[in-house]
Amino acid sequence: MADTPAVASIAIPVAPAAVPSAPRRPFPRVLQLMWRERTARLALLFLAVLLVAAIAAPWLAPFDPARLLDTSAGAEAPSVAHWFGTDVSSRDVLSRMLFGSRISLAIATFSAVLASGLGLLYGGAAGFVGGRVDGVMMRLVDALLAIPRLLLLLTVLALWGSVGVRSLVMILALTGWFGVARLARVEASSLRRRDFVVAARALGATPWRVFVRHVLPHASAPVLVATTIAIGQVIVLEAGLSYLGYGVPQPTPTWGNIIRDGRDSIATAWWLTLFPGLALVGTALAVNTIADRLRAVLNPRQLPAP
Amino acid sequence: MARSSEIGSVHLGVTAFLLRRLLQGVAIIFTVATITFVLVHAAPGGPFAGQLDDARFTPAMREALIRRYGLDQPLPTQYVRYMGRLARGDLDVSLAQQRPVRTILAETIPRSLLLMSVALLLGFALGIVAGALQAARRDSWLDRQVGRISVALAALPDFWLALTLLLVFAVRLRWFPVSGMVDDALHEYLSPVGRLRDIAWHLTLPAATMALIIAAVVARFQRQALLDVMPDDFIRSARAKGATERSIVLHHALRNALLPTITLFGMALPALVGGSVFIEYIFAWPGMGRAAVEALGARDYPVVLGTTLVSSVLVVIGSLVADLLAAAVDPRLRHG
Amino acid sequence: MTDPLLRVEHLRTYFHTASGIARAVDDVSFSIARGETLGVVGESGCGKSVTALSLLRLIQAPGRIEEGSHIWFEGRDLLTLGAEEIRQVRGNRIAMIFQEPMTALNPVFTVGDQIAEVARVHTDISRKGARERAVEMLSLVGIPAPRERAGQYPHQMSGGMRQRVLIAMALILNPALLIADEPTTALDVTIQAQILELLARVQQEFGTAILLITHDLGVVAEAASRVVVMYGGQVVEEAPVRTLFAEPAHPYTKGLMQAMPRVGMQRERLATIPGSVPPPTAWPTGCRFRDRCSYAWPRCEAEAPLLVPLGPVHAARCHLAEGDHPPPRDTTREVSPL
Repeated sequence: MADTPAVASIAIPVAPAAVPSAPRRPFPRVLQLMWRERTARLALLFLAVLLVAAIAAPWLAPFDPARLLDTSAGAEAPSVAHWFGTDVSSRDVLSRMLFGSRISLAIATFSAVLASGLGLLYGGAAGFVGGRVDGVMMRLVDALLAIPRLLLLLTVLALWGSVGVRSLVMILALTGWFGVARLARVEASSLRRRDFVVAARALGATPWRVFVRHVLPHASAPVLVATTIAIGQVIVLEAGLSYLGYGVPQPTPTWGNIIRDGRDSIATAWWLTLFPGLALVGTALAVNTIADRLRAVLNPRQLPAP
Repeated sequence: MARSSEIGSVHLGVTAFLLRRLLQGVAIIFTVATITFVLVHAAPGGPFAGQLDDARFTPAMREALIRRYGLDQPLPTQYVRYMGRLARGDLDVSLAQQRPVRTILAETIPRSLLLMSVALLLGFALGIVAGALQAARRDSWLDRQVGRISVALAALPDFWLALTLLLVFAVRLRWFPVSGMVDDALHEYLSPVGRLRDIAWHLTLPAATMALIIAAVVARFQRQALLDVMPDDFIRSARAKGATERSIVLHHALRNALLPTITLFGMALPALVGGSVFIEYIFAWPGMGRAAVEALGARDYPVVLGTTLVSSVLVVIGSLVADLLAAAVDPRLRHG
Repeated sequence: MTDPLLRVEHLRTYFHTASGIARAVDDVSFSIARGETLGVVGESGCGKSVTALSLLRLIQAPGRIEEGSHIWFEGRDLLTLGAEEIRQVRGNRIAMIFQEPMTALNPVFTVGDQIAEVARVHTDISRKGARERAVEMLSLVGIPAPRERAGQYPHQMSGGMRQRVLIAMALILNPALLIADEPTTALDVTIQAQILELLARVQQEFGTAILLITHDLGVVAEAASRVVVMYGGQVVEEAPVRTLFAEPAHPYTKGLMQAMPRVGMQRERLATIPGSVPPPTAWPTGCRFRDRCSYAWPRCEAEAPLLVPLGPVHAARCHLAEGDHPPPRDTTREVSPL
């Protein structure tokens, strides 16, 4: 059972003390340990299924997601022909959801990974260098963290106008690296004083080499957990933005867009809100569960004897 | 250990602590303001963002803008003028409504504050109680069920939860109104008490939605914080004194376990303010979040910018409040 | 002969863990008379702390006090009392102070409140009255400016002062028995002496019996009137303090004494008892000390020794105490006492 709380869709930076930097564990072993708990197993399976569905969407989808099937009919309830019903423009919801999962997952993964990379470099550098520079760099991060992420996104969108998918990924990444930066900074800062770093320097390794080969890998465990959480958060965030109408531009399907389409007929066309919503909920739950389990597994104190 | 000077030093300790945090807060707000300046000028079109393509944007208006913001001046000068304006409280003029942003915010912020404070109070109260109960009856049926509910609630997308609650309680069951803060038709004619009730009735669903999510996160946190404290030596001392189990959990342990929750409050503020945007939009609560979303539709960036700035200020103020609370709860922080 | 204040009979406290049953306290019996100080000595892992916690039933899962154990106190077997009844004994009739004064006090409440709480939990005394009593107790344990100190928090005090606070907390309701679990271990030597002096004074004034648990023979020599030596979850020797030091009967006791550094010693190396305490999940068969005992012979492995009386007040758990000794050896192997 997870010992520390998983982060909600509310973006709470992961407390650094929750995951002390661990000696690196081989990846297959990590997976194996994660598999042991039942809920983590379910979560992994769910995500695996989702991933397969997303990749195989062109083959799995019964209809073309953009095809307007019967414009006179409007939104139809779920039936044998349309498992998840159709939307107001008479497009098959299931197909749209399948293709939407590709977009949503891709956006979330790319932006989260990009953000973590940025944060790791920035925070790691700050912690490694220390002193005044560290202080100034972190002040900036403090200020950025004080701005609610959604509002920052809205500000950027207001100034730059509506954006395509690629720019959306960039913007999401550029507004999402602050928490990771703080994490990485704490790790790097404590590592700076550790003996093996001093030893490496004494052996003549350049600071850059020490940074890349020693500091960065050690800071990666908490960052990995944070990235997993971030993917879940961005999926929800992107859905929310699309719901407001400022995320992925129509007619490209994303789960948030589908819900938005059903906005005006929410009482009658309930399936437009329910199915994408359930998909969102399931994905968010699965990702959070995995992040929880990952954190427990990477924490050396809690591992069972091999 | 000094004696008579201690009383003075206690006050000094708290004051110094607060002063330091206050200065940090000011520095943060300053930095945030600078960031907004950078954003405005980095955007395509700069301060004219969104207007260059607009047909209604006459050369005369352009001239007025240039004069108003000193856009022909070098950037550093513009920066100084910008910060000066902000310091005076001038947040620019809304492009869509042609009203000062300050006025718009003055109308909408109190409503957002009302919503957020009610949600925070309810959410934290519920969360602390739930977490404490869970810890007191660890591994029981209650603990497990509440735990499962918390995990689920905390993972739900807030806008989806809002939509679902709206659908069930407002549309289907008709227990609560579907939108708005007041009943537009009736509100004027109601007595003061009636008006309060009207607002409260409209407030319930949006506040409950936020409170539920907050409570879920807080409960998990509080439970863990309590469990972390229970093995501590002073708990054993309390038991050896003959204190009841109930007093041990609710009195001895909880006071120590509140501190992490207060820290959580400080850290969760930005997320809270951000989340309220969706809630306000879905329930049509006329707060600053909704104003920002509507302004976005009209590419009315001054309003969005103003909302962002003010939100950051609120976050900083909230953190200070959290620090005060923490010092009130934990005497070690007072004497540093 | 008057009834003893506390009589422990066949106390067994086992911890049922996933890796086996840890028999931390395995058939321990002793008694304490009113106003007497009984010292309990042994290395870490011998079960003395668990014994103390068992007396107040402060053992938590997976630990359990086993059937067949009895703790007679003031006419009742404490182990048969309900939860509420034992709660009323704690802090009231039997009080306990712990090893680490740093962590034994709640950091968010004032010292005065924590002392007063004991009185308020067990009696009908008013808030104000309890506060007054707390200040009185602080004065009694030798803390200067007690009224001011009562409003302070634990982190504002030194270790020695905190231990005094704990003693004040323990004594406020004038318990018949005070259990002191390593009360001086975490303190400086000079403070140590002060605390022991305080305990002696308290005993003299109030007639409190003290169960003093320690690994330090010096403390025992100074403070106890009778001593129980524990090893491997059992009592291995029991004697009045003078007798113990003059004529230790058990090899373990002898080893402890020789390991004590003393003024005037002329040795280059401190003597030690070879080996270490075995885990409580796997006590050796026969005599539990045999792997570390220089006198051990085959009988020690085959047969667990019983507690043998060596006089009216002296007993030892050793085959040597029965008068038995190792069979003569053919080889001239030097059997050196430690």
